[in-house]
Parts: sequence; structure tokens; C-alpha cells
Amino acid sequence: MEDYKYLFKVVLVGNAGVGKTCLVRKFTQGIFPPGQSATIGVDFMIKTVKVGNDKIKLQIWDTAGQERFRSITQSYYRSAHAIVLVYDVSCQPSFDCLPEWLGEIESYANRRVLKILVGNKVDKGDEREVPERIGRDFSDVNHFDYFLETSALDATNVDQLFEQVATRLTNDMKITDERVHQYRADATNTTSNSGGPIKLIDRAQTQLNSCCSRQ
Amino acid sequence: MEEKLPESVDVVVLGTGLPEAILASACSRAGMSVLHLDRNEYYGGDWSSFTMSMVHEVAETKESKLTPEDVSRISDLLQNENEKLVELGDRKVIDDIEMTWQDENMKEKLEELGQMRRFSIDLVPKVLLSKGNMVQTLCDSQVSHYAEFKLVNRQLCPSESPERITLNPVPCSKGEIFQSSVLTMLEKRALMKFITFCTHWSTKAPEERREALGDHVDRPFSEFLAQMGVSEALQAVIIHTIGILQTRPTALSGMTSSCEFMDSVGFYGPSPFLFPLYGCGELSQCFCRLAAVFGSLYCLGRPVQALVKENGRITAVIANNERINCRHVIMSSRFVPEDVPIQNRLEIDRIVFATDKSIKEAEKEQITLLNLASLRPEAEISRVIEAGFEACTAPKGHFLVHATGTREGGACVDEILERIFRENDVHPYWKMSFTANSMKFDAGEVGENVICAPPVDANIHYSSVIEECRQLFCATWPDLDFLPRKMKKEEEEEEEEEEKEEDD
Repeated sequence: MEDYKYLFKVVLVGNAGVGKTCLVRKFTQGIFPPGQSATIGVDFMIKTVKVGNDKIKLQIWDTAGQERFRSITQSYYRSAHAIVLVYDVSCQPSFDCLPEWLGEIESYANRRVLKILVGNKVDKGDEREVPERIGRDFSDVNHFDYFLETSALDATNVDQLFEQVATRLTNDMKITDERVHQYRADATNTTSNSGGPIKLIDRAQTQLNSCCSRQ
Repeated sequence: MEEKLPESVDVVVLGTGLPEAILASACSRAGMSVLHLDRNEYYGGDWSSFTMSMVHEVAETKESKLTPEDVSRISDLLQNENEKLVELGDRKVIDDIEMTWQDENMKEKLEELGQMRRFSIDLVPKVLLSKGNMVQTLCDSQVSHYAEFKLVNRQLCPSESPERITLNPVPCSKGEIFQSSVLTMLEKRALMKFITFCTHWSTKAPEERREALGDHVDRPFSEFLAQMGVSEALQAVIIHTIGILQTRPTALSGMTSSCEFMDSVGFYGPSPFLFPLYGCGELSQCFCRLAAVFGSLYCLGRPVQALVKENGRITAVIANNERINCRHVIMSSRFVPEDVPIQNRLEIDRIVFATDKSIKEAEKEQITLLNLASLRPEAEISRVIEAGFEACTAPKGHFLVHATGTREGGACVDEILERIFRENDVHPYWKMSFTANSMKFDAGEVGENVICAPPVDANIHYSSVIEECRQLFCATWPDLDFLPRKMKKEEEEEEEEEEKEEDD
């Protein structure tokens, strides 16, 4: 049964090798995938979290390796509710690329998208090249909504990262819902636009489900 | 510090237009290793969509001809004396591009408000038939995860008098037809009979379908309808309605289009057509994403220079001054070497206007299809698509009006459109015009193991593109499935895992 209150699309970006996939896998499956093997055929991972009494579904999207030659499709950014930009605290070049990533986000993502900056691999102790203060300063200057340092290896702040995303998005959404409610009450007569966007899978899925009586 | 391209893959795909993207995703999905390259920094090639601030890129020509120094450098990558270099082409698919701001104030205003990036200007605007094979492929392959659509909620058909061109709504659904005041009760009954006939006819095998139409099969559709007892007024309604799919229908093509049309009506809404949010360029990106998810490697904005040919086969591609060995090469017509003759060429006129008023104002914003065929009877294709904020292709209150026409005699499609603008007090503030060259080649001329992807075309929907891609794929890899349905088992496992976590 689909009894969740909201579903949010969260996309991860950042240089290759900063640990994006590891963060997602640690959070959704509790495992730290060994080696560099790319996960073939996995599109996005879903995990349900609780915000207060509400069940929230996070649909977390990975880059599918398209960042290796800086060739991420614009459509990847579309309709994202939150963007998590990840760098590796033990790799200065991954931090130096952040402005380029910000440029992409600004060009293609929704203006009101929740932006989160993450410095990953804090477990690397003395190999650290980017001090926390520098990361936090960058986050402040560039108007990120949240900054956090994590380790997908020892699980530092991983749950907290995604719980923050869920909480902030839920709170924002509730405010919007109230506004929409207000707006509808104010203008009972206005015809809204010609219906929401159509997701093709909805229809196919419904049919599939109904013929297997799974829903 | 940049990563190196792989030394060897099963398939190298050149160009990220829709057909190349479909084929790349089909190959990766079937388990082949794929390297997908494009000279442009952006996805979509000649099928792309641009924002207003980026659209100038389509007119920019990067020098891609190899200099003698290039050739000598690249020649070092040849491994034996039987191998020879074949320089890749840079054919002008999109040509004669002209762009003008007819209202500079509007340009300043849009720039000031940061609205230029809100446009999505399609090079190849099309719609999807709700139950057509494109939608089927999108759903089966789950590429549908990456895209959203809106219903094309208005179809218009012009009638001309010396004073003005009137744009009449074309009824789509049964409901709309029955509410229509154009038809008498008797005609409505005749229409029901026709619809029932279509439903039966569409279930027959291809040969029986032909037989059922008797001697009329290749005669004009109107004659066939007349002998079924359909009045002239009703004939006109039927022919106008399906006219967007079939310009000069014979009994066979008319019946086929009528069935396609009726089949798709009511599936996602009253109209049989869907338009992709953010424009048609999204579709190639979506297929590329699927390819990437299945391991295809993407590298855009690098030089794609030459092929290495040995004994009639292409053994490697040279890109970014690196050699990538491969078993197969798939290329868009843009990359076909200059000395390969064009087998077939069709020139498509394309004009795009930006406006701040719809060609036919309505209470709520519409996505509109306008068939101009009746005003240009000599031409095969003359159509207009108007989409704006609803389709996420323009800022609020603005529209992009796309005209597409083939060139056979008579008035140009943009002349008619400009008259419609004048008569409806619409003042376009920006105009772009270009020619899209649809070029076909014999892939064998390039190499035995080369596939030339289908070129850009003027069809209203994607059926022929997807069908040609399927045929090319199946002819090359007869043992493999073309973008098969994702196995249900995987889906179930995913869900089970998820449920398990929820329980934890």
C-alpha cells in the first residue's frame, strides 16, 4: 500500500570518486560497496523515512557515471526537489570543481531547489586537504541550505544528511500545501491549468498492477 | 587531469540525437559495452532543444576538418599497413540558419527578468501518440521514469476566406464529435457505424485488412467513405481529424490512421497526442540516461576525428586523439564521411516564432496542433505546434510557435502563419528559420560493421524513428532483444528489499 505523505526526488552530483554512490548505498541499504564497481542497471534507490508522524519517500538518484567526462544530461536536474553536491575532503580538486557544478545547477535546476553541500570521506583523518571551515564558508557564500561533513565508510552523519533533506523538504511542502489550500479557497471559480503533467509509467503500472491484483 | 577513453568497446556511437540515443540504450541494455561520443557540449545533436540564451550555438560551426598536422599525429595510432584513416564528416543537417529579434525591447525585458533560460526551442518538434510504439518503448524500457508529458489539448484546422483564415477546433473524442453542431443526427449515427467498422477492421491480419477494403484499397479515402454511405460533411470531419497523421489518405492509409487515432484517444485524456515537458530534446537525453544506467560511457564536447578501416570493416574510432577499438560503429548522418554519396535527401523548412499571445486565445493555456495541409495542398507536410508555459518550453504568458513544412510548390508555411498572426493581432518578437536536411546513406559504403542512424524527419510523431531503430538493431543483432521490458523479478526484488527496510 502506498501510504506515504510525500515523495521527493533527491539527486546527487559532484566529481567522480567522491563517494556519491557509497553515500546512497550506505543510507538505503546499510552497506558500503567494496571496490570501484559501478552498479549496472540501478537507476535510483528508494527509502522511506519518518518526519514527525509522516512517512516520506526519498527517491535518490545517482549520476550513472555521466560525471566522468562532465556529461550529465540537463534532464537529470529537472524536477529534483533537492540537490546534494558532494566533494571529497581528502581531494582538493574535487572541491575546486564546485563552482562548475554550481553553474550547472543554476542553469538547469528549479530555482527553488534545496541545495546541500557535503564534504565526504571525513574518515580519512590526516589525509584531509579541505578544512571543515573552508567547506562551510563556501556553503555560506553560495547560499546552500545546509552543509555537512560525512563518511560513507563509518556512517558518520549519513542518516542525518538524508533525514535533514526529508525534514526540510517536508516542512517546505507543508507550507506550500497550506498556501495552495488558501488559494483554492480564495478562488473557487478559477479553472486550474489543464491538469498536471503525465507520467507514462503511472498508466502502465496501474494496468500491470491491476491485472496482477497487487494494488 | 582527465580520464582516458577506453581502449576497446563493443560499440562506439557518434552523435547524441534521438535515434543514436535509442540505439545506444538498446545496445547497453543488451549487455554490450558502449562509448557514446558527441562533438557538441550539449546532448541531442540535430534533435536538441535550446534555451534562448544558448540557441546561437546551433549556428556556430566548430572547425572540425583535420589539418595535415592532425592527420600525421593521428596516423601514429594506426597499427599496421592495411589500416587506413577515414576522416569523419561534419555534414550540415541544420542549415541556412537565420535568427532575428523583431522586438529588441522584449529581448531586454526577458534578459532582465532572467527568463531567457526558460525557453526550450526544439529543432525537431513532434508529438507522441498515446498508444503508439514510442510510448510503448518508453514504458517497457522504463525510460518513462525520466520524462513527463502534457496532453496536446487542442487540434485546429483552418478554413480560408479572402478576409481571413478561421481556426476551427477539430473534435477528437466521441463526446466532442457528438456535441459538435456541424453534424446532423443521421451523420452522427453514420459515424458510430464507421467507428464500429474501424474497431473490427483493426483486429484483422494485414492481408485481410487489404481485402476488406476491396478495390478501394489504394484509391482516395473519401471515395471509400462515400461508398460506405458517409456524407460529404462527415467525410470532411473524418479526413480533417486524421489529417494530421495522414495528408492525402488512401482507403488503406486512411483506415490505418483512423484506427491509430481512435486507439489513442481517451488513453491519457481526450486528445490522442502527448508533448514532452521541456521540449522534444528531452527524449534523447532520457534514452542516454538509460544507456548510462546500463554502463554506457558518455563523453561530450571532444573532437571526434576519424575511423580506422581495414578490409572493409571499421576497426577503431579516433576521438580526442585517442584510439578506441570497436566491433560496431553507429553514427548520425552528421558524421558520415564527406565522400559517401547521399542516397536520399529531403529538405524540411522549419520556422520558429516566439510570441506573447496565442494564435487562438482561450480561457486557459493550451498546447495546440494546427494542420495547414488544406491551405498548401501540394505539400506533403504543413503543420504548426504551439506550446508555452504549460509545456515548460517558454516563460509564463509566452509561446513558441513551430512551423514545419516540406517544400513542394505554393506558399511557404511561414507566409501562412504570418498571415494568421496578423489577423489575430499576434506580434512575434523573435524568429528563427532553418532548413533541416534529412539525408539517408548506404551504411555499407562507410564500412560493413557501420549503422547509419535514421535522419531527422518531418513526421508528426515518433513511430517511424523507433521502428527504424528497432529494425536496424534486430538486423545487426538478430539474437538480442530491442529494449525489452524490464524483468518483473528485478522490480519485485527491489520492492521487497524496500519493504524489508521499512520493517526494520
